Formats: sequence, structure tokens, C-alpha cells
Amino acid sequence: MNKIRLIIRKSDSVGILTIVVFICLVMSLLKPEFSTFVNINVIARSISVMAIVALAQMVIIGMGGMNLSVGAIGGLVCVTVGALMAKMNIPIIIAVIAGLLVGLLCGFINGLLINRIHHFTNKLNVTSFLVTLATGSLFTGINLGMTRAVPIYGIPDSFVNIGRITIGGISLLVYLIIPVVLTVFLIMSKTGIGRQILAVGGNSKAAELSGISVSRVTIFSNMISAVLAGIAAIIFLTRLGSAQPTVGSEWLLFSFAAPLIGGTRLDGGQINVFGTVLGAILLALVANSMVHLQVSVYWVTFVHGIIILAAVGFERIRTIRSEERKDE
Amino acid sequence: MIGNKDIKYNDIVLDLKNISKSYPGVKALNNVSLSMNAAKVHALIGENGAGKSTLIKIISGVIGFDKGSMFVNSKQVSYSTPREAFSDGINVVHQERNVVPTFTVGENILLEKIADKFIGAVNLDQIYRESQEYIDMVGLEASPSSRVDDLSAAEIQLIEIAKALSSKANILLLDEPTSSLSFHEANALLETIKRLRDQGVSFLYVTHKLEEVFEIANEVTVLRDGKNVGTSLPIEELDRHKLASLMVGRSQKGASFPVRKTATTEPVLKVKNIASKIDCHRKSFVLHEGEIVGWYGLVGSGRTELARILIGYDPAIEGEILLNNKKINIKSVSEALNMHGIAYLSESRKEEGLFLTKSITLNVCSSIWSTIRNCCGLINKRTEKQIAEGYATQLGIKAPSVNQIVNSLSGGNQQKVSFAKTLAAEPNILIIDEPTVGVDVGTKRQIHELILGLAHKNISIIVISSDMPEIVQLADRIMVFSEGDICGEILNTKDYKTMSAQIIDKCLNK
Repeated sequence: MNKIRLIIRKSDSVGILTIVVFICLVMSLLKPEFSTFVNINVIARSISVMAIVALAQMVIIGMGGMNLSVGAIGGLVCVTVGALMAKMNIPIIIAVIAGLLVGLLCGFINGLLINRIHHFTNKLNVTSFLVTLATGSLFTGINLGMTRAVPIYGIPDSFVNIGRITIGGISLLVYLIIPVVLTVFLIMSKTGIGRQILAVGGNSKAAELSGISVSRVTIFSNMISAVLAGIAAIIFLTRLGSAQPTVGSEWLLFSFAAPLIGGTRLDGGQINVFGTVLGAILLALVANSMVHLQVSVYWVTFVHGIIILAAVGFERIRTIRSEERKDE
Repeated sequence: MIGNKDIKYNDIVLDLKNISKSYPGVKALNNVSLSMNAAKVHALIGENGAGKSTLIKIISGVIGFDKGSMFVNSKQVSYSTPREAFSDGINVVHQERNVVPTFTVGENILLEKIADKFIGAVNLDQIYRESQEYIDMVGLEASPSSRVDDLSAAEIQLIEIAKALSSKANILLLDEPTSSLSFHEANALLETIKRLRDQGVSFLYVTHKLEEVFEIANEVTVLRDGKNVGTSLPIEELDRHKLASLMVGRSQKGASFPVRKTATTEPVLKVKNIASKIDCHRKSFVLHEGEIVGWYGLVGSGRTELARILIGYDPAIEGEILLNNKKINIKSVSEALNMHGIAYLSESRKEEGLFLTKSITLNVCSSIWSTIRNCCGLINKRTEKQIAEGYATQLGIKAPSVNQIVNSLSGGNQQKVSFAKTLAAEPNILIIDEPTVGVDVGTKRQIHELILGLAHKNISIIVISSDMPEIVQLADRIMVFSEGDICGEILNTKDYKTMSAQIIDKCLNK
């Protein structure tokens, strides 16, 4: 019986994979240009950013919270790295590290504020919603205030060229997500902090009573999330070639959709790293297909709304089903 | 392995001396003493509000105490956090589930280990292997790698005990551990407890099921109204009647109301074999016009569940309900109230009954907005205020004005506002759940008079209460609930001695 349950749980990913393959097949039949090498590379590059942003959100959902500031952190990291390289001629590697540190700091601030306010409300999800709503605005504000919303040009070629390196015809950036995904997987499933994040998401009271420090977990999960958002922003920067202050402004929606599609429980406590990546692949495919099917840009937003609603519905049905199975 | 190897079997592991604890306005515990012997099951019993949970909280370090002293393994202690109690080997298995549902059995049992690690790797195989020992100890038949949300309530209970054992606890506080278990599951749990006791673990077993006390306990402490009525009594000196009368045997306060003859009137409500999704025990009863029926029983005996069927909260899936000899189907709370005139006054007025941060007026009128609105669908403030003032005078709500925020009123006055809110809907049948929980003695009397007055106005009333004197004082007829069934019906003679004896009899001889 438990075997069957396990298979049902694992089969979520199989289901998404089927849809992904199906979309690919239909699209290549309908639009020959879809399956060209160039287009596949385009999709793969957007997946590399989306998947990492989705993981950033997944970690926080797993902890029982949410992070509305993923995009804002991404934007801030993007302009920081851009400004350091273009305006101050700081070496690439140091600029990147500085950018990630800015991300870490943002995550630390989020975690700290959530802890402070959580102390009074006792509702982790509402608190993290409100705090990151506010800090998201703060981070965006710093970003816009410093850049005056003007993109930073003059990113050194050596940096932009990283984005152009290909291995076997596929952009290096695509390969870059593999270590990131594996690291997140290892942290979440094998290390103490990863299991603690999920324990807090599953039942924060039980976690606390077992000696897990909920406040420490909150801070660390937010820092992990923020660093991931920063990595995504830096990858995005290599593609853009200029530091756009608006980077990240459209991340929020799919950052929720991808984990939910991929089998992460909205209530926290259960995540699926590879499912989340599959979710991001699915979303990137849908977005790309809409371009090829010449759906009006204005209606794309509408479709995004549908997708996230579907993702929430999908997640709820799955959670309720798993509860019903228990009653049988 | 567990407990303390060199335990002497007559060692006292936990000793409370004259513990007192007050909350603003309430004396929760008054000079309570208790001493627990090693490797014994010590039952802590008492009615609701007797102070059992306050005592558990003190022992486990959730709250402090005002006076008295506490010794754990002969060392004087005064805990300020649960962690301190925990490190002395005291562990509570709570009524509410304290497991991580998305984790495996092994991870839950050894969650402490995961808490110790941070960057270090968690070796799941090792956790599964180590947890097997505790799984075997409590007799749980589940693999350490199965997920907790696939398991039953009984199995989760065992996980919690295993978890406590894994942390080398030797004093386990079990807070009504069988309340959500089936008969067989409960028996299996009791066997496990006995086995662990014989291996040297000491248990403080909080319950209100007398059967279990005789099944498992070695010693019993009885609390009533925050005081000891029996301290660490050996079980051999007790029998059911003695224990039951210790639990409930307070003398009746205040004069009784006269005996009324009501069962001769036409029944307004006839219920035949109804059951709901959450309560599968079929129940039948009748309710006459202007009658007060008392439902006596302990928490979890099935009273609230039956009430919830009648008010459409958990619609009946079986049986039939006849209102004035017409078969009705109650599908929702709003239907019960608006179409059939069946109203319910919740026992937890703060959570379910009142809008605490709003005025008396808003609370009273919230159930009748649809009837007092004018032709444009708007609600006239003045009408609202008049209605609220009417009820405030009628029920004697003590407040400077009806604009007063409900939260600032005393418990008794809040309860009166709940009454006003329910009465404003002009029900024919009123179900009142624990009408006087948390109100002072004077207001209690007033509320009783109020209920009687409503009955005189031909409203049929069901009073649900675990307070035996209240039931005997108030009801015309008493229905006794036990373990999900109605196990007896008595016409009330309002003589406390004979009635309480009869009620206890019905409870026990189920």
C-alpha cells in the first residue's frame, strides 16, 4: 500500500514530463521554427533563470512562508553587479561575489523582520507575506533611487561573453543550473538546515518543541532564497548585456506557479526540487509557444493568470487527494 | 535503555507541594499537591476546568506557579521554559498532534537529532535504523520510512510516545491520549503504556474516562475546582462510585428551581436515528414545547456532535428529523436558523460566538441584518441601537452603553450578549452549549433564570453541560451521554443527591 502511495507521489513529475513532451511535439508539428536549434537555445536560456527563481520561492514555501521580494532582490543584485563592473571597473568575480552578498543581506533583513513580527502574530505565512511585500518595495526603491531607473550600460565584454560560451551548441548558462539545482537538492534533502526548514513548514510548533530554532530557520531559508534570486539575476545579466533596473519585476507569478506545478505543498513542509525545475520548463515552453502562436503580448498576462490559478488548483487537488487516500 | 537504570521502585520522581496559580480574577490552582512514584501510572482526573491542564502546563514548564514547590527526582525545580523540563526528562504528549505530517516516521521520532545538525548531513538510513528501536518499543507497526500523514491518529500517538522515549524522557505526561482513538486502538495504547511502565517509565495520565483509570492507574489524584479532593490515592482503595463522586461531588449552590411538568405537551422536535459524517452513532430523542432538556456528559461524549447535526453544521446523512411533525432536512446553519428557527449558542463564545472587537449593538444585530434592513436594503443605525438596548435591558447587560466594545465586558456580560444575539433571531428551539463556562456565580444564577424565562415563553431549550449541579438545577429532563451514545434519560426531580447518583449510574453502566 505504501509503495502505491509512493508511486502516486512520484508520478506527479511523470505527469508534468508528459505535458512537456506533448507541448514540444504539438508545437514542432504546428510551427517548424519551434524545434530549431536557435529556438531551443532561447527556451533553455529562459529556463535557466526561471528555474532558479522558482527554487528561490520553493525554499520559502517549503518553510511555510512566501517571498514576494524575489524579484526586487534580483533587480537590486543585477544593478549592483552591473554598476560595480561598468562604473567602478571592479573585477568580474569580485563584483559577482559582492552582488551575492547584497542578496544575502536582503535575505537576512527579510528573515530578521519576519522573526520580529512573527513574534507578535504567530502566523508565519501572513507575516512573511507582509514583510516581503514591504521589503520588496524597499529593495526596488533603493534600486530605482540609485539608478533613477536608467539601465547601466558598458558591462565589460569579458562578462557578457560568458553568456555566449556554448558547449555542444548549448549555452553555458544552461549547464550552470545543473550544479545550482543539485546543490539546492542536497541542502534541502540531506543537510540539517534543509530538513529543519521543512520541519518548520510541516509543523512549526512540533519543530520548536523538538529544539529546532524557528527563528534561525526563518533567517537561513530567507538567505538561501535571496542568494538564489541573486544568482538568477546575475545569469540574466549575462544575457542582457546591460543592467536593467526592471530585472525581476515579472518573476513573482511564475516563482509561485513553477513550484506548485512541480509538487511543492502550498502549506509548507513538502517540496520537490526536480518537479519545480520541470514546472519552470513547462512555463518557459508555454511562454515561448505563445510567441510562436502569435498570441498578443497583452493577452500573455491573462494566460499567466490562468496558469497560476491552474497551478493552485492542481496543488490543492493533489493535497486533498492525498488526505482522502489516508481516510480509505 | 529507557528511564533510569538504577530506579528504586518506591522513589518519588515528581513531587508537587501546595502549588497555587492565579490568573487575573481566577484562582486556577489552590494548594495542589501530587507525588508520583517511579515506574507507576499516576492518573490525574477531574471535570473540565478542574485545573488539570494548568497543572500539566506547570509541570512541563509552559507556565510558572505563584506559590508552592516542585521537586523532580528529589531536586527542587522551577521551570521557565519547556526546554528546562525537557532536559530533566519530562515530556508531554499533547492532545493536539505535534508531528510534522510531511516527514517520515523515523524523522519525526528523531527530530531532535535533526535539530542538532545544521550544515552537517542528515543520514536518513541511520535515522531509520536508530528509530526502529523506539518503534518496536511502542509496538508501532509501521516502517520508519513511511510518511506520517499516511498513518492513523492512533499510530501518530505512538510516534509521539516513541519520540518522547527517544529523548530519554522518564516522566511522560499523557494528556487524554485516547480521546481521538477507537476502542481497540485505545486498548492497544494502554497495553503499550503498561509495558513501558514495567520497563521503568513513569506516567502522569490525564483523563476523564474512569474505565481507563481502573484499567491502568496505580495511583490517582483528583482535582475539583482547582483543589485537591484526593491526593495520590492508591487505586486499591477506590471504586468507581467513590471516584465519580470525588470528581463531581460538589454541593449544590443556590436554591433549585421548581420542578415543572412539560413532557405532556406536544413534541416540537422528534429525532430518529440520526448520524452525521463525523459522528456515526445513531441517536434518537424528542423535545417538547417549552421544555428544558439537559444533555449531560463529558467532553467528547457526543453532545456537541449531535447539536451540530441539528443546526446544520454537519448535516445528517442518516435518520430523520421531524419539526412539528413535518419531516425537515437541515442542510446549513443559515437554513436551521432562518427556516426552522433552531439556534445554537456556542460554548466558545470568544471564538465562535462573538465579534469581540465590535460593539454590543453590532453583535446583537449581526444575526438579523437581513430582517431589519429597510426597503433600499440599508440598515438603520437607530433601529439597530433600539433593538440592542431592548435586549440589554431585558437581559441586564451591564455596560455604559450599547456602543461598548464586547471585549471590554466581563465573561458573564459577554455571555449575555451572546444570548441577545441568538434571541434576536427569535428561535423556537435553542441549543445552549455550556451556558455558564467562565462566568461568576452571581451571573450564573442570572443566566439560569434567563433560560428558565425563555422556557416559560414556550421556547424549547437544550442545555449542554458537563456541570452536574447546573443540569440538575435547570433541566426538566436529563439525557446522559457517554462515549458517543445517549445512554439514559431521567426525569429530573431536582433533588441533587438522588439525581447525581442516577446520572453517575447511567454513565458507568453503559
